[in-house]
Amino acid sequence: MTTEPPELDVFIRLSEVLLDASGLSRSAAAEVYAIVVAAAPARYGIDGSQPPMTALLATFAEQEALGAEGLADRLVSVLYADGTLGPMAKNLIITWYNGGLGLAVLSPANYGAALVWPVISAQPPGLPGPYYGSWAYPPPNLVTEPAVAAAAASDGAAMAAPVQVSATLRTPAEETS
Amino acid sequence: MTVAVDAPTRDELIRQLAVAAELEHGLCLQYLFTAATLKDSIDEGGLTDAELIAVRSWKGTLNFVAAQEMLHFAQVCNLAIAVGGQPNFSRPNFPQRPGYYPTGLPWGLWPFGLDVVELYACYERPAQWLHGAPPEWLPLDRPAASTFPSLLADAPAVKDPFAHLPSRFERPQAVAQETIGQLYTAIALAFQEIRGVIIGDPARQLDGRTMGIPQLVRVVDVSSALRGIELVVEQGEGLADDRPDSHFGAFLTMRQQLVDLSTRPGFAPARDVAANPLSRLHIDNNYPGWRLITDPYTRAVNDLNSEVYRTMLDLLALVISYGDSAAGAAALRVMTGVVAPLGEALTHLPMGTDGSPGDSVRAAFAGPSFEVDYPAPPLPPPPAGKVIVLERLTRCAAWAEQLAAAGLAEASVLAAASRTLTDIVSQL
Amino acid sequence: MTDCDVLIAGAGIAGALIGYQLSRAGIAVTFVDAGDRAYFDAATGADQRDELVRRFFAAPVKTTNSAFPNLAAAPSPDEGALNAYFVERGPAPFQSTYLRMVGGTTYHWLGTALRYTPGTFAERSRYGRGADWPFGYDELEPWYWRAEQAIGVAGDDAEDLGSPRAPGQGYPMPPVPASYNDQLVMAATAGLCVDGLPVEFRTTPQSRNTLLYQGRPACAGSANCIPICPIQAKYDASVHLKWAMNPSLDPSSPSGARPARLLTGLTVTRVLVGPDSQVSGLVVKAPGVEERVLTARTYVLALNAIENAKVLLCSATESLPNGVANSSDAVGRYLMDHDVKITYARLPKPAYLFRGPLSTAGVESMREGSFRSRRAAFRIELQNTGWSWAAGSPFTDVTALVNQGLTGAALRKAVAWQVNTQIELNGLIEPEPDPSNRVRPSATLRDALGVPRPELTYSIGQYSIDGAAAFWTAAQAVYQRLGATEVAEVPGWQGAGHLMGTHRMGTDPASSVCDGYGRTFDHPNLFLTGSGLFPTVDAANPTLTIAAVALRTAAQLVEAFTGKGDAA
Repeated sequence: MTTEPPELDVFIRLSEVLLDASGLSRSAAAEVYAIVVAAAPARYGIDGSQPPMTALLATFAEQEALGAEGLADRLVSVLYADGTLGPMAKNLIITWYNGGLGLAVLSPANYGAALVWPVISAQPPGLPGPYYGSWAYPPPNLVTEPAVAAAAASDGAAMAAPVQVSATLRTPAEETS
Repeated sequence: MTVAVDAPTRDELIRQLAVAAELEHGLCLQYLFTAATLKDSIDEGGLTDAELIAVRSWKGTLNFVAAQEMLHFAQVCNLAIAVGGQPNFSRPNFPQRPGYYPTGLPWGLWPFGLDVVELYACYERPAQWLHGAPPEWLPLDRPAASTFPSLLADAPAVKDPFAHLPSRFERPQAVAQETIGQLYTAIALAFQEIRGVIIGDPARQLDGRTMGIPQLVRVVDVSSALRGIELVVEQGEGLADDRPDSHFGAFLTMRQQLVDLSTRPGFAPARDVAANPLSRLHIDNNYPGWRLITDPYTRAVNDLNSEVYRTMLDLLALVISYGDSAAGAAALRVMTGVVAPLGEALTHLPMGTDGSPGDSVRAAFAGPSFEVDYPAPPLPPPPAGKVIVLERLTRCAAWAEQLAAAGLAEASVLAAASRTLTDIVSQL
Repeated sequence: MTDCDVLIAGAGIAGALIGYQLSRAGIAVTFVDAGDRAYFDAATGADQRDELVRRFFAAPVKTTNSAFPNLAAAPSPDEGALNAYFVERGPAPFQSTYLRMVGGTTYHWLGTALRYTPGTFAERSRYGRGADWPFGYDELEPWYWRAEQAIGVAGDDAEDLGSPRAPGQGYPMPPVPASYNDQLVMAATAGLCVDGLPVEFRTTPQSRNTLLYQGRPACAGSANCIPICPIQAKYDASVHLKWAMNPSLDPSSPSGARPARLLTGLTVTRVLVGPDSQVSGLVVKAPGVEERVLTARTYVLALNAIENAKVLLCSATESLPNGVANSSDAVGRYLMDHDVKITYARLPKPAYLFRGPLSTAGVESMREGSFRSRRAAFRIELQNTGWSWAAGSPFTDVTALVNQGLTGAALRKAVAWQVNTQIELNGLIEPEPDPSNRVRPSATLRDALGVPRPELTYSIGQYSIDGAAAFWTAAQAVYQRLGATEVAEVPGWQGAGHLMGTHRMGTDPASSVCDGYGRTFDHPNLFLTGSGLFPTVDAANPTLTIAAVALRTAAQLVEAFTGKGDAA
């Protein structure tokens, strides 16, 4: 478990906007926060006076103050134009989805908080369940083809080339039997 | 030709099989309800990460036992068809007085707890003890309703409307057998004793492979009938030397783990779910222990789920009574893709407050009540039967979409249910 | 005076099954294992895997061994750092791993429980390749059936997978339900033939509960067979270890059963041989403690194909310069794995992956045929986990899509679609035994305990390469039937986790190490067990055959000790 940073509420709101999610786990959020901070450069800005997380949350707060209408789009365009805050935002999203970033992972207690599993209509592997035979049927949450994926498929296979699994990513479990 | 008046009769056997179908059906729903009340995540509170692993495995076990009850239900259907009967899809609403079935045990929908696990062990207990002795907490002598005080805490003092009748009157009850094991023993005996007992059309026997239950025995003669009965009894109470691998054994293990984990103060494996929630009272809700859902949204979601559940029974009727295998596949998808997730969602939705005394301390959340309406005329054969089912599924899809559009709790589950129902309709 | 009747080195599946059968027969058994502890309580039978599951949750890289301790005193190879323990001499890397712990590698196995095909037992006489086994399929068949009951196999009695079953001897459990993904592939490939061979996807027989069995629950679809099933719905050797150590936990225990002893934290370093050619003891070692010798009337080495061979070779003396049991010079040679080819593609509609057991179907119809005189056989394993092995899905999909700039709902939908439309078909290729593929104790490199590390020389022969080419043709035909796009093959090879061949059995002491019961030709009271015994293998995963051969050995040992036949 990680101690709660004072800005945790803002961080959770930022996460919810970037992920289009709600009801994020507070204790997982504290750990994601720590992982994103650890992966960011030490200082931010011309004079290096600001920790990057402070800048990230301040930028979010500025956009939030402008109103909820179009907040996600504004926020992403502002953050992604920034060579430090953009990658931090991406790390934040990846950490929430994958339950970790590189060799940094959420604690066992928050293992089930990784978003990728519900997003793909599955459950976190290794937590018991859901139930015998469930795999024989489509999951309750059917998946439909998004416009983006359709475009990617038509212009020729974004993922066609074998992806090299770097040591900092989780390697797939080697099959053993 | 002489007719022995006391010998088992076909009529009696058909009625016993109808009771067995109700018991298997009802137990299946009880297990599913209880499973749905178990927590999924440490974010729900009351669980450490190690405890979560145990709680989720209990959920898996309850769901597995429920799935085997579905197999048993199908087996009873095949047995009934073989002796010239019809599958029985009907059952009373929950709760019913403990004497409704001669088991003398509470019959209802309960959130997970020690009493409930012990109750389930009682339901699945062996008919006789050849080796070893029953655990001391298991009431063996006609387990009385009073053994499970917490389950009936909401019921008023007079629990049995027939209790005032003098003993010379036979109490109303479905069958005479006290345990499910004894009921099946009587059924097996009838199969052996009734001459020419098999008169059903073998072509009407359900093939379990089409329904994901390959163990289902097609009943074409007495020996296959006995095999089918043995399968049900073995999985329920187990063989004498193989009790751990029965439902009874699984509940024993679960109880011990629950007792062990409960030594930690604050351990809370289940959501705060009401026992026997109901959207409305039905003509057969003449025994207390229920609690009405007053939150209008929760009520609507529960009504939708009950409607989908009833439609699933009709899909099962289409496959079991009329051999429509596409309906069988649809029934499985309705069960796994809609009834299961909506049931779980209901355990997150509020019961609502009605301002009655004790309101503030009662359980906060609802659960799937699986309500059935009376009268429920049997589904006509296809094509009419199929049209009726398709119309209902289509209506349920629209209903789920409408509820999702309200944007309240669990809206994403309702939206997903709507998409699944639409997909099922497109494939029927 | 010896410590016990039978000393079994290695408490994995082969050792556990043998020890269990002997203890039932009232024979005094001691297990010795390098693992520092058991993950169960033999007194109560309580399983203690929670700690392992949480270790898996905490592991940053979810390798096959990520749920388990890697002991300094008894290292396990891990694909995240293969060279930390193995000394790889090439030309190809040996990529399969194992677990040195009580219960062994069954903790992380997939659970596939196939029988070998009859031709595999007569590969030399039928196909002119490899060597013949000292017995045929018919001899092993009843032991296969007992093994299926012992390790709880779920399968479909009605399916002919090329290894005939005796009438009335069905699987102990009904088949694992085919995954949604399996059903799509089965429907699309109906009637498909490639090179005159049918490409039949069938539900795989697997040691995974579809009923309550051995006091263990049914599979709940936790999707984590590798590295660890959180509820023990998948068989692992702790089942029989527990029963051997505490017969009261075994529902079928006979009254004369004798509890076995388990010694943990002891690494077997050498086998001692007396002047009469009988083994006189096993030297064991623990950190910071003097070596000591454990004695018994009979010894069983059940470590695994690499560690068994290493210990025998480490035991060389002046009188046995080749090492123990090695007058044939075959010990350590003929090291085999199922070299794996990974292929993947994109489906036109979702297959709903990462749910249920990691693989539930495969093609067994291409494992036997006259082609085996020319090229390797293969089996196709259909993964329920998309491109996880090929590309690290779903984590890599997330990373790639986030880096493309997707956020919010668009990201969610793209991840869901991209991961669920993946398909991965893996070919397990039959190896041809090659004497130059071998394990030796390193002359210079030692582990923390001072024991030589295994030095591996490994290559993949033309026979396998040709088999892999045939697999690729078949995989492409399957993908075409599915209307798949982005069809690709991962370059190179992977390991299947199958260590085989290093102390082969046979009929000729000049060319093999053991007889058909695993008894070494050189030392009558030394038995070897495990897949190191296999002279040849087909494309099927070895574990069920390990179990069947071990049970056959156990019966032989029981007979030798008690004079009574057939302990099963």
